Formats: sequence, structure tokens, C-alpha cells
Amino acid sequence: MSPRRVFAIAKRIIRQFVHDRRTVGLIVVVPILLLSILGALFKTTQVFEAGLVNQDQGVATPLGFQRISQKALDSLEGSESLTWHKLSLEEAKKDLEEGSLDAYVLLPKDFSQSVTEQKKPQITIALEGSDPNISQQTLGLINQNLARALAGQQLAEIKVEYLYGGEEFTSLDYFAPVFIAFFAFFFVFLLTSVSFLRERAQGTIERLFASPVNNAEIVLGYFLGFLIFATVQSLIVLLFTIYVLDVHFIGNIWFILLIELILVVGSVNMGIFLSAFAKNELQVVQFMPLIIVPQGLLSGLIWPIKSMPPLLQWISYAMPLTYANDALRGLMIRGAGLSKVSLDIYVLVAFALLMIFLAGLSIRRGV
Amino acid sequence: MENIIEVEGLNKKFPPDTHAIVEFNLQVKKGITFGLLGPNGSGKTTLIRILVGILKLDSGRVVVIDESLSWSERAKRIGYMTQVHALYQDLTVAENLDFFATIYGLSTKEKKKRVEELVSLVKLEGKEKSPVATLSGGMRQRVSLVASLLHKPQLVFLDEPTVGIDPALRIEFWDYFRKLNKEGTSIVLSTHVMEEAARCDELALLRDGRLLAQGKVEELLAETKTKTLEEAFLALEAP
Repeated sequence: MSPRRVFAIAKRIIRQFVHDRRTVGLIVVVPILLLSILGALFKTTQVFEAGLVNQDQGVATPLGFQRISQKALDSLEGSESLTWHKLSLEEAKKDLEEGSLDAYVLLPKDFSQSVTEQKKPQITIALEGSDPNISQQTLGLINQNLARALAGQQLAEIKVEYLYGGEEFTSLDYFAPVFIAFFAFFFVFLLTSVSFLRERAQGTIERLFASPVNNAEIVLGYFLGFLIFATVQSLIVLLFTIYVLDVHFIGNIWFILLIELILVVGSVNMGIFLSAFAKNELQVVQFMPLIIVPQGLLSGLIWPIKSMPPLLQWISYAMPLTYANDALRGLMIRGAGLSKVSLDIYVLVAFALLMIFLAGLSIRRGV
Repeated sequence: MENIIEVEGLNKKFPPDTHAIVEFNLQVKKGITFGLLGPNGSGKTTLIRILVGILKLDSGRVVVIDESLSWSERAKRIGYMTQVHALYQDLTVAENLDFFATIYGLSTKEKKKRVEELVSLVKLEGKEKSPVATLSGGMRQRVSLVASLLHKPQLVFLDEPTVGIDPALRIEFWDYFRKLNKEGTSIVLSTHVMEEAARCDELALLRDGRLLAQGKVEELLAETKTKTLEEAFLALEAP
């Protein structure tokens, strides 16, 4: 193993990048652009519009005529994410159809009557329904609001405590850590496989194989060359999420870079390994739906792994990004030490070793 | 060892059904320019790649330079100019040469000296800062030749070295090959041009992965009772 040769390869990769300014720009600009979009999406709270149609005709009681619903509805307040509109049934139906309402609540004519007779009045909630996600959220909010209003006084004060995070934590705080891993993994894989493919296509790999350079030096040189860009990218992503998107971060930045480093070793070698199976750059791009998209969907990036069907959970636990995500969330959100995420680290190291092995096997393929 | 290359009973197959090199024997003396002459697909490049050490052989015995050398020591003494230009298109001429020189362990001082020397030899002064992708085919060919000679190899393999080079420069290339021979460097080059093959000290004639004949040009002509290499080739092919 000659450090000079390793550094020569790393230097060459850096030089190639410096000549390719557009790619350098993209590895910095693209994550920031995507994170900005995500930041904007997660930070805005969606406001749902609900109509309230009260047809309660009241009831005559010994105490006089009463509309029992009125009392309840007086205490019906909207919240940050739900606005109530008092409407007639026709108006509500029309608005729901036109899309300006997400749902309306209909109190029947015999509402008061039923209550006095100790029967349960039937309340109808009509939902627009085309987007199940919106339906579910609206329904949840309406139920919460109605329950509070109809139940009247609360019997106890409830105190909420957070083990990690806090009231000011948004979804973005939960998602941001994993994007650091995702971008590094994705870009390093893509860049290595394309670079290595070019090396094969333009024949320079022949020259390397005829020279005193050995496989380990090639792999290490590639790793070092790309590590610099991956580190710069990760730092930019990290600083951007912490300072611009205002994501909460209580961990140790060196721990995060360590996880990143292990992930990049795996990613570089996976790029070298898979480039042996691609004949052109278009085919490399086609690896992405195969390698990147499933990891994006199943690694707990957005949907929690625990709520997945068992088969998908198995697949999740076979993916390196799952462990990187878990480790980074532990380190960033819970401020955990390395010992708390040691299992994740072992798995990532094992993945990196496996990829080094496979890259070593395939590096001379097709020569 | 008087010979720099010795090959005995060499076979190489590419699955499923290509027998690229068949029972091949070859001896190349030190300090000469040896030509591999044959049409496309005759096995010249495969043979060179085996001799360089990139390709594994199926059976037979191959000795290059010295049997006792380790793989990396041998690699340091060999220069290889591939058939395609095999340069980093996005890097400049100087960056390409700097990279290959470093890989072969040249010091900063040696690098500077050798690059200047060879760049002027192939008349590429002033092109050092141009990206390889912007050069003409002939220029790339010259950079490629320089890249394989930087480390003063003892044995140089040149796969079709003068393709795309104008006749005046071709003559200069040949003068340089002669100079290298005088300094003790052995050269093995492949070609399918008869006129170029005639300049070699010795020749091997290849067809379908088999050796048709080996010897000096005069010997081959005498043996086949022909006047040109072309006729000699046809005469050897016939039986």
C-alpha cells in the first residue's frame, strides 16, 4: 500500500470535480433547495375549514324553551388548524362541493329533544373525502373540538411532559437528521458509480491495472476523494438545517460526521461494485429507483418502520440507511452518546466491510 | 535472460466460445522493437494485455522481464499505451501526466523534467493546460504515448501507437523508438499496417489467435519466397 498512490488518486478525483463546476454546484445547491422546500412544507400548519349547520329546533322543558345545542356551540372554538363557519345546510353543501370547506357538521332538528329524553342525538359529519389524508386530519380535529365543547368543563388539568424534543418540536426536527445521511449516501453513490464507469469506458482503468496501483489503493483513493465532497456537503446541509431552518440539534457534531464517514465508505464501495454491472451512465441512473428510492421509502425517513407490514419491516432492517437514520436521530434529537447507537454503528461498519469486499471482487470485472 | 519476453503454449479463451489465443509461443529479445502484425481480431491486443498482466491466462507459461519480480515491481518496469487514448478527458494534459507520473512513483523534480522532455518530443508545448477533451485525436494519441513513457520503463507495449498521427510525426516517433532501443528499452508494438511492421526488428504474424511465423522481416520474406510482407502473410495463411 503506497500512500502516495492513494493520494494521487484522491487528488485526481478532486481535480476532476474542480473542473466540473456544475456538479460541485449541484451537490451543494440541490440538498439546500430540497431542504428549503421540506422546511417550508413542514413549518406551515395547514388550516382546515369546517362548516357548522345547526338545525336544532329546541325543546320545551319545564324551565321554558331551550336549544341545548346552543350552549355547547357557544363554547365551540376553532383552533390554530381548524376554523368553524356557521352555515345553512344548503350553503354548507355548496361550499363542500366547491372545495372551500373540508367538512361540515350537522346537528339534527331533534338534538335538544333527544338530549332531554336521554337519547343520544345523532350528529352527522360530512367530509369532502377525496384526499384520505385531509379527511383523517379534519375528522380528528372536529372530533377533538366537538368532544371538548359537548363535554363542557374539563375535570382535570392535564400537564404534558416531553422526554425528548418539546412543544416547539416540529416534524422538520424529526426529518432533518435523516436527510443529512440520505443526501450523502445518494450523491456519493451516484458520483462514484458514474466516475468509475467513465474510468472503465475511457479505458483509464486499463492503465491503472497495468501500473503498480493495487485494488486497495484504488478503493481508498476513491474514498478519500469523495469523502472531501461528502463532508463539505454534509457540513453545509447540517449548518443549513440548524441555522437557517432552525432545526433543534442537541448532539455532538463529530459523532454525526463519524456516522457519515462510515456511511460514505459503504456508499463509495457500493458505487464501485454496482458500476461493474452497468454498461453506460443511463444504466447507472436506472440503479437509483432500485437502490435509492426503496431506501428513501423504507428506511424510516418519513414513515415509521414500526407501522409497516412485517415484510417491509424485514426489508427496512436490511438497509443501511435505516441504521444511519436511527443513529442520527438518536445523536441529534436525543443527544445520545455513541454507546447508545452502537448497534447502528456496528451494522453500518458491517455494511461498509461487505461493500469493500464486493467492490474488491468486482473491480477487475469486465477487464 | 537474453529474452525480455518468453511465451510457451499460451491459451486464452473468452467464454462461451472465443478461443482468443491458441497454443502461442513467442520470444522477444531485449532492446529491440518487436512487431505484432495481424488483422483486427487476430489476438494482438489480448496477447498484449496478458503480457502486461491485466488479463489472466488459461494455460501456458509467460515470463516477462524476470520471473523473480513481484507483480508491482514488474508493473513499475512496464509501460503500456492502450489502443483507446485512455486519458481523463476532463483533466488537462499536465494533470493527466502528473497523475500517471505520481502513480509510477516519480518525484516532483523527475516529473517536471520528464514531462517537459516528452511533451517537447511529441510537439505538444503550449497544450499543457488544455483539457484532453478539447484535443484532436492525433494529439490525444501523443499524450497517451507520453503517459506510458514517463517512468522510463524497461519494456513498453504500444497498441497501435501511430494510428491517427501524421506521417512527419510518425517518422519522428520511429526515430524516438530507435533511440529508446539504443538506451536498452525494449518495445513491443502491434500494428495492422504492413509498411509500419516492416520497420520492426522482428515480427510475429498473427491470425485467429495463432502464431503464423516469427522472425526478422528478411527471414520471413526468404522463408516464404516473397517480396513483400503482404505476400508473405498471404503465403503463410494459405496452408
